[in-house]
Amino acid sequence: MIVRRALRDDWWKVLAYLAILVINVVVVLRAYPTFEANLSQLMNLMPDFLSFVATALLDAGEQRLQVFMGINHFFKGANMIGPAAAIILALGTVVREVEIGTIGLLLSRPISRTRILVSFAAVHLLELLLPLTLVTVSLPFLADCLIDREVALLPFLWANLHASAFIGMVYALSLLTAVLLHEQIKVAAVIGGVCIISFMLYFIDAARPFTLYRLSSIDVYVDLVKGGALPLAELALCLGIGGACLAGAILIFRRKDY
Amino acid sequence: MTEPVIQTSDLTKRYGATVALDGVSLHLERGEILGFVGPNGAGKSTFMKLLLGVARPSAGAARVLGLDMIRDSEAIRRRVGYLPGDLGMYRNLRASAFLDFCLSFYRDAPRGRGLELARLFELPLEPKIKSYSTGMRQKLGLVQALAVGAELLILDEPTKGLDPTSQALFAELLAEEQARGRSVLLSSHVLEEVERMCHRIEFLDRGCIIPPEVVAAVRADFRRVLSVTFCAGREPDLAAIPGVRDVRRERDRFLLRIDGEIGPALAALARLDVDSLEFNRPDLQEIYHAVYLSRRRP
Repeated sequence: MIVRRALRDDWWKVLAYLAILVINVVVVLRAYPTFEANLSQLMNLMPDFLSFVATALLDAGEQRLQVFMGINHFFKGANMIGPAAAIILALGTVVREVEIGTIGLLLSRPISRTRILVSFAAVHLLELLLPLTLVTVSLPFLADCLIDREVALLPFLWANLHASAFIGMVYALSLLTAVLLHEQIKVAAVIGGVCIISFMLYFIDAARPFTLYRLSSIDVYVDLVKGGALPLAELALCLGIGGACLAGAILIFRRKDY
Repeated sequence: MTEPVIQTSDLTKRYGATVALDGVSLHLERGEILGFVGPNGAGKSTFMKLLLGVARPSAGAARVLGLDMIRDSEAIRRRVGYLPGDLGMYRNLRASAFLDFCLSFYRDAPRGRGLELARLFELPLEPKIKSYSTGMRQKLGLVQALAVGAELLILDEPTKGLDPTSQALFAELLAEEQARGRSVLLSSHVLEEVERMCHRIEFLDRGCIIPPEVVAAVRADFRRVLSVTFCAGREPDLAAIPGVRDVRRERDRFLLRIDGEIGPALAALARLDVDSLEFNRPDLQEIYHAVYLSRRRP
C-alpha cells in the first residue's frame, strides 16, 4: 500500500530524473569528438582547480572516451543529479506526512513504523538506482549510435555500483533528516546545503579530504572506468554511513511522538 | 466478568515541561459510548493518540481490547477505527483512492461498506480531495473510520464541520454500531450531541479527569434550583422563604437557589399562589460551564 502510493506519487519525478541523466550523457557524447580534436587547447584553458581532471584526461590515452564518460556520467551526472533526486524523494516521506497532517492517520493504521519507513526507503532506492543503472547500461549503445565509438560496459557497471552506494548514502542522510525535522523546506535546506557546500569544497585541495564528495571523487571513477578495482574503503564508508543513517532514522521514527 | 475495552491507569504524557495528560485512569465497557469533553488543550486528542501508539506515554499503562497498549500496538490498531481530530488528507488523490488506501491496511475491511457509507453520506468518491469542502473531508474521514468494521471506534471531534443532516446520520450510525456491541470513545465540543449520544461522559481539564464527585456536586447544586412562576399579579417576597440564597428572574419565572434542607422552602412556596414549580434540569452545557468555572475560580 505504501509502496503503491509512493510509486504513484513519484513517477513524474523519476521520469524527470531519468530524462536529465539521459540528456547529460547524450550532450557530452555528442560533444566528445570536438572535445578530443581540441583537447590540448582545452587543457590549457582549464582552471587550476580542475588541473587534476585535465591530467586524468590527458593520461587516459586510448581509454580517453571511457574516462571522459566516467567523469561526466558518474562524477558530474550521478553525483549532482542523484543527490538532488535523493533529497526530493526523501522529502516525500515522514516530513511530508507531518506537514500535510496525514501522519496521525498513517500511524493509526495496523502497520509498524519500521515497515512504513523501510517501504519508503526501498521504493525510493529503486527509483534512484534503476534509472542510473539503465543509463549506464545504455552507454555502449549510445556511444556507438551517436559517435560511432566503442566503450567497455563492465568498468562502467563497477562505477555504477559505487555511484549507487554514494547516492544511497545521501538518501539515507536525507531520510534521517526528514524524520528529525518537521518542515520539508528545512530538510531541503540542510541536506541540499551540505551537498552544495561539500561539492564546492571538493575543488579546494586542502578541503577535499573532508568533503562528502571525497567518497565519490573523480579519482575513484577514473580508476574504475579504466578497469581498476572497487575502492573498498570509500565503498565501505558509503555503505556504513548510509546504513547507520537508515538505522538511526528507523530508531528515531519508532520512538517519536506525532 | 469481561475485561473493559479500554482500561487506563495513571496515563501521563509530558512534552518537555508541559504536562499534556496527568495520570488519567478511566475505563470503557463493551458496547458503551463514552464522551470526552473539555476545553481546547485539555488532553483529549493526546489521550486518543496514546491509545493508538501515535504518541508514547511518559508514564502509566493502558490495555485496549485486552491488549497492552505499547507491546501490542499494531494488533490494537487492527481492531480500531480512528478519526483524528486534525485530519489531513492526500489532496491530490481521488476520494475513492484515499478510501482504498486507508482500508488497504486492514485484512477484513470490506470496501463495499465504505461505498455504502459514502452513499449514505451522499459523498461523491470520484472527485479529487482538493475539490472537497471541509464538511466533505470530514465525511470521508468518518467513512474510513466506520468502514473498517472495528470493535472499537475512537473518534476525535467526529461532527466537526458536518451539516445537521449528516450529524443526524452520524448519530444513527453510531447507535447501529453500539447495537452491534461495538464500543465508542468520542470527543466533541458539541455538548448537546455528547449528551444525546453517549452513555457516560468524562470531563477533562488541563490533562486531568475531573473527579466524578466534583461533577456530581455541580449537578446536585443545579438540582437545588427551583423554577417557579406565580399567578398573575402576585410577586411575593421570595427572599423571606427559608433557605433561599439567591433569586434570579427570567421573564415571568423565578429561579430560586436553595441552601440546606429543601422541605421548608417547598412548604413556604405551597402557601403562595404558585402557578408552576419545577426542579431545574440542567443540560450538559450548563454543567460544563459550571464545572470549568468552579475550577478556574481562585
